[in-house]
Amino acid sequence: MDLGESIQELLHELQPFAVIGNNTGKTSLILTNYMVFLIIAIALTIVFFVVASRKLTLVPKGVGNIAEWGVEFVRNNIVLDVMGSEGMVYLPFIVTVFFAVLFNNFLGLIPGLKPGTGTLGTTFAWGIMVFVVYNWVGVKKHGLVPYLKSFLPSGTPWWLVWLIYPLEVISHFLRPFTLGVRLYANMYAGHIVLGIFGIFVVMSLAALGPVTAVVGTLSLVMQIIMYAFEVFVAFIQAYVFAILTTVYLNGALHTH
Amino acid sequence: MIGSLSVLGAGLAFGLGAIGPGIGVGFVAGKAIEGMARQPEMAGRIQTTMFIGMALAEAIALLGFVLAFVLFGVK
Amino acid sequence: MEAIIPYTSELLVSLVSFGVLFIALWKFALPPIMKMLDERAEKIKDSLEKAEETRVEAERLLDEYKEQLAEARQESNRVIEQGRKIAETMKDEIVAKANEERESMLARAREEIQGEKRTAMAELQAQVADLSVAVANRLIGTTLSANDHKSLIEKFVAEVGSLDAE
Repeated sequence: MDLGESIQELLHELQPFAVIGNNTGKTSLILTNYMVFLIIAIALTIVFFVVASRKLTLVPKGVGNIAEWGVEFVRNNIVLDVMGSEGMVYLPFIVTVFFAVLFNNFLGLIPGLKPGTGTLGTTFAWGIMVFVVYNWVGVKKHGLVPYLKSFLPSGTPWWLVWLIYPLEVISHFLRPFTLGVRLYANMYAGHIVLGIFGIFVVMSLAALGPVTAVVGTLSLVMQIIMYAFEVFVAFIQAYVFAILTTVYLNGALHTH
Repeated sequence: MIGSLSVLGAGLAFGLGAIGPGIGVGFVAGKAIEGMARQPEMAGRIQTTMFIGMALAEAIALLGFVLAFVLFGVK
Repeated sequence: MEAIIPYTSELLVSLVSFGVLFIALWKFALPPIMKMLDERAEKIKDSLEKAEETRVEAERLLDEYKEQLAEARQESNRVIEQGRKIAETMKDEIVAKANEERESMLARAREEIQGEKRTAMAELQAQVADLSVAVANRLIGTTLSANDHKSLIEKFVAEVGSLDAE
């Protein structure tokens, strides 16, 4: 098969399809394949953490050590770095966000499995949830009207308010969508790139010759490199999601 | 006709949409390296901020990528 | 546009699973981990403080020992000095006493010699008296009586003797 058809098939494979239930449109109650992997990843996270919290020793070693290191990384580099010691109240939330995204991303790296965050449903849901949470925290602390008024940077002359305020509100409301799209696109695009290099390798194996051998080996090497890069990107995306959540929370608590 | 135009649109969307973020990410990384060279003790903080800046800049490029795939699927 | 709209079921399932994860972590897994982190930080701080205390204590003891050592050395020096002084005094005493003895021995020896000389002179005087009587006898040709001779001769000898003794 030629390249166009292979790519179509790749894209088709990466689409969510129904595992349980009939797909009668976007609002049907189905369980898609991505949902299965999401549930598997979340279950794995819960099991990992509950087992690790039982095996803690004073001198760290074993499974408990990894979980502790993860929590300490979130605590020092994300929460304390951005918010200071008053952010410790929000530590469980940020830890949950970080590890949910991380485990889902990592699960998708295993060949044959897909990341639970590789579909817009998951990422939009989490983005909107983060948005709701941090706005609610801000409103609870400052009151509704002062919080809405705080969108305006202080010191703007009155005759610019009608222009600046809507811009600020729009850019504020874009935040959940950018969070969701960033995560989804990184995961989805990573899989597509890996798939395309795989297609190149398979095609050059099918029509063996001098040129295709070179192209084939280069593609294989590229695929290995991209695989390593995907691991890096998985971690970075989880980190960025968590730290943007913290930054938004901080911004809502100490109004800009 | 619609099909091939949409594929062209997809290519243009991603291609042109990656110019700005490419320059932006390079700029962020360059400034971060410069800052780290000037003050090595702030290197950790600068690195953190660099990652945040890069993620925010990459998001725009990825918006274009997703749009390309939407257009790719139009029959 | 179709590809952008997410499935509703996906939204629900992901929210529910996030909630389950959040509750599981918040209630069950995070408290032991946070407690362990704090405990370890506490213990490290404690052992660091104790190490610092021990170090300060060890330095203090070291200083004390050094002082004691210096004192002991001073003491021993002093004792040695004293001993040396005593030895010198004794040496001086012994030397002086030896000199004294030598002097007294010499003096005694001189006295003895003087005594012997006197005795010898006395004997000599007696012999000279007798000899001079015999010589005078031969010269004069007559024999004087022993007693007259003796008193005359002794008188002459005494004069000579006193001249001699001078």
